[in-house]
Amino acid sequence: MGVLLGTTLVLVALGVLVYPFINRRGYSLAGDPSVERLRVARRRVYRQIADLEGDYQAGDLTEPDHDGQLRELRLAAARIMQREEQLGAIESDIETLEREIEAARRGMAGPPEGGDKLR
Amino acid sequence: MAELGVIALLLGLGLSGYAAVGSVIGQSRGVPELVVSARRSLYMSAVAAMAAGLALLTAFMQNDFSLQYVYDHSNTVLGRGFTFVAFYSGNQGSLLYILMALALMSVAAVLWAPDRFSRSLPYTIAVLAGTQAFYFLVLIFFASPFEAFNGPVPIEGLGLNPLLEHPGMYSHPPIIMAGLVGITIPFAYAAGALISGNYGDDWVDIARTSGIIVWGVMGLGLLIGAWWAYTILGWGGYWSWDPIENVALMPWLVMTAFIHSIMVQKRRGMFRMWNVALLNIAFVLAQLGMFINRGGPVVSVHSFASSSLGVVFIIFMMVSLVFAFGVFLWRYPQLKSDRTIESFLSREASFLVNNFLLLAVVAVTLWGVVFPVFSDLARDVSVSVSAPYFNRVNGPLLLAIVAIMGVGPLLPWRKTSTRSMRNWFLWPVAGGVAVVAGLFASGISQWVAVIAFGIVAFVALAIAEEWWRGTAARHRGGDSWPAAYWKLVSGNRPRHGGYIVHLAVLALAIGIIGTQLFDQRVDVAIFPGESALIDNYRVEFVDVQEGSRADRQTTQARLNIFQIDRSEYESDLSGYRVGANRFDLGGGSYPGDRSVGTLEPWQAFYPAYNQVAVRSGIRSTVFEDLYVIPSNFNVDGSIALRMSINPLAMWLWISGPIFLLGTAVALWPAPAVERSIATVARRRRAAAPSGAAENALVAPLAAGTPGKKMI
Repeated sequence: MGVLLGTTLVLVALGVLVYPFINRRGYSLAGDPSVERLRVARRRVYRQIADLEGDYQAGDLTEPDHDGQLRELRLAAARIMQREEQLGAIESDIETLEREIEAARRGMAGPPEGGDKLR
Repeated sequence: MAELGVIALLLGLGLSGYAAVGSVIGQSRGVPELVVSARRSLYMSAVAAMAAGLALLTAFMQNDFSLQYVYDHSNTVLGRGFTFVAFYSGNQGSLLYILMALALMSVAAVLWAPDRFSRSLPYTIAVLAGTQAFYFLVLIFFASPFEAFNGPVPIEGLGLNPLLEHPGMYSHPPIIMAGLVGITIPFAYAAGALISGNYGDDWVDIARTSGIIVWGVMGLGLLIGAWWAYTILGWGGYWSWDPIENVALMPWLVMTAFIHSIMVQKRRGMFRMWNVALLNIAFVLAQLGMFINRGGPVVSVHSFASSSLGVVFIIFMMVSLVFAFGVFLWRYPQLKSDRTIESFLSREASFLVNNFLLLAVVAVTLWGVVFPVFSDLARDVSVSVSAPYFNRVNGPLLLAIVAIMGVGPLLPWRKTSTRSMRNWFLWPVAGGVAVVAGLFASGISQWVAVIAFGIVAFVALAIAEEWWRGTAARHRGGDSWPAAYWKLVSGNRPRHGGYIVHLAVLALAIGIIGTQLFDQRVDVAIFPGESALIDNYRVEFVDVQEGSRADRQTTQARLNIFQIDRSEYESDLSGYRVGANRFDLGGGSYPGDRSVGTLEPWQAFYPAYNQVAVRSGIRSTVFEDLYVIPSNFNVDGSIALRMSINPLAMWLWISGPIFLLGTAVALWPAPAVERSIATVARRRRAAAPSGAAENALVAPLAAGTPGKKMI
C-alpha cells in the first residue's frame, strides 16, 4: 500500500514538473517591473502624507515641521507621477478630461434599454 | 506506511533540489518553462513533506512499533489526543514537523508574493528550496523517523515523555519550532531581492508582514513556554535562562529589532543595510538554535530532543552564515540609504537606539550561551553561566528598552524642537515621577523596583497621551469618541498595533518586576492536620491520595488554603505553633481565617522513564500567586512543601492576549490609499458640487487641513 501510494506520488510529481515543457502556453519571465514599482512608490508617499497629517492633527508635529515635510513629500509624489506619465503608466490631465467628456457624452445619449430614463 | 514515508522523503529531496537549481538557472538563462517547473516543484516538495508526515502519523495511530521512533515515543495506553505530541516529541519527528512547517510556509510565501517581486521570486524560491533540501537530507541520512526497529517487533512501546503529556504541549514546542524555521521566509525574500539586483524597497512590505507573523508566532511560543514551565514543570519559575530558552529568545529579539527598523525603511527609505543585516543575523541565530537543540555542545534541561546531529547542523549554520553575509557584502554598495538621521531627537534615532539595545541583549545572551564552550576550550573545564549573570546584565538593558518604548512614540520623524519635546514629555514624565514618589512614600524601599514601575508608568502614559491627542483631534472634527478612536487606530494600524503590543510588554514587565523582586519562599515539612504559613496564607495539609495508571503511580496531596490575619498567628495566644511557620490548630482556626479554596498538587512516577513529574498547586489573583510544590512525600507521613508568593504573576499571562491583539492590528492590511482617495473625493463632490474640480489625489491628503493642496 505504502509503495503504491509512494509510486503514485512520484508519478504525479514528475507530471507536474514536465507539464510546463510539454504545454508551452506562452510562459514569460517577469518583465521590467518599473511601472508597478513606481505605483507602489507613489502609494507609499501617499501613505506617508496621510501619516504626516495624522501626526500633525495629533499635535506630534509643529506647523513649520509639518509644512516642510509635506512640501518634500508633495515634490516626491510629483516626481514619481511625472515618471509614470513618461512611461505611460498613468493618464495625463488632458487624457482624464477627454475620458470624462466621452463618458458624459455616452451618458447623455440615453440610458441603456430597460434602464431608467434621464430626468 | 513507512515505505510511503521513505519514498516521500527521497522525492522531496529531489524536488527541492530541482526547485533550487531550476529556478536560478531558469531565471538567469531566460527559460520561463524551467522557472515555472521549478516553482511547481517547490509546491510538490510540500506535498511530499506532508505525505511523509501523514505516513508517520498513521504509524503512530496504528501503534506500529516496527518503527524505532514510534516504539521510542508511544505506547498502547497513550491517549489518542497526544498522538501529535508524540509525533514531534523526539528528534526525528520534530525535524519532520519543522520541514512540514517550512514547506507549507514556503508555498504560502511564493503564492503571496506580489507581481512586482516576480523577478526576484526565483531566487527566493532557491533559498527556500535549498533550506528544505537540507531538512530532507537530514531526515533521510541522519535522523530518519522511518528507521526499522532492530529486532523482533515489540508489542508495547516506551511511551511519551511524561513532561509532555499536557495539552500545553500542543502549542509551545510546535509554535516555537514553526517560528524559528519561519524566519527563513523574510530572509529568503530579502536574499532573493538582493541576488536578483532588486535594490529598491519591493521586498519591504512582504518581509515586514512575514517578519511580524514569524515574530508574533515566536513571541506567543515563548510566552506559552513560560506559562508551561510555571504551571506544569513545577519548579516555581517561568524563565531560567536555559540555553534552549536563550536560543529561541535571541532570534525573537533580533526580529523585534527588525520589525521596528523596517518601519524606518518603509517610511523614510533608510536602514536598508541594517535591515538586511538583521534578517541575516536572525536567520543564522535560528540555525544556532537548531544546532544547540540537536546535540550542540551546551548542556540544557531540554534534553528530550537532543541528539548527535550537532556536526550536521553546525555545518549548515556555517553555510548559512557565509551565504547570508556573502550576498550582503556582494550587494553592499547598492544598499546605501539616500538619507541620514537628521537629529538624535527623532523617531528614527530612537528606533536605532532601540535596535542597539536589543542587539546588546542578544550579545550578552549569546555570550552566556557559548561561554561554557570557550571555558572548556581554554581551561578544560566547562563553566556554565546561570540566571544571576543574565539578570544582572540583561535586566538594566531590558529596562532601558522599555523606557525607549515610551520615548520613541513621542518623537516625530526627522527632528523636533525643544518646545515640542516639553509639551509631549510633560505628562508622561510627571506621571512616572509621581509613581516613583508614591511608591517610595508607601514604604517600598527596593529602588530598582520603584524606578522600574516609574518607567512602566511613563510608557503607559506616553501611549495614553498619543491616543488621547489623536482621538481628541478627530473628535473635534465631528466624530464621536469611540468612532474617533477607531479611526485613529485603523488609520495607522502598524503604529497603533505596535502601541497595543507595547502595552503587552508593560504587562509582562509588571509581572517580571513583581515576581523577581518581591517574591517570598518558604520550605517546610508538615504532617496531616498541620498548617504552614507564608505571607498572609495558611496552607493546611488534609491528606494524601495514592493512585495508579498503566504507565504511572501518582501521589496527590489535598491542601486547604486560608487567607489569614498574620498578626493573630505571630502573637499565637492559643499556642498552636509547633515549629517555624508550622501550626497545629487541631481542626480549628483563628477568627481572621477565611477559606479561599483547595489545592491538589501531585507527584507521579513513570517507571518506563524512571522519571518523576511534579504538578504544582497555584492559587492565582491579579495581585499575587500562591504557588505550592510538593517537594517530597515522606515515609513518616509528612509532606515537604516549597511554598512561594509570586506577586503580580498573573500579569505575565495577561500580556499574551494583548500581545496577540496588537500583532493582529499591526498586520491588519491598510485600505488602499487610492480607494480612500476616491471615497473622500466622492464625498466632497457630493457635499460641494462647485468644488468638484479639486484634484482627487489631493483631497484625502489634505483631510483635516482644508484648503491645502498637495501639488
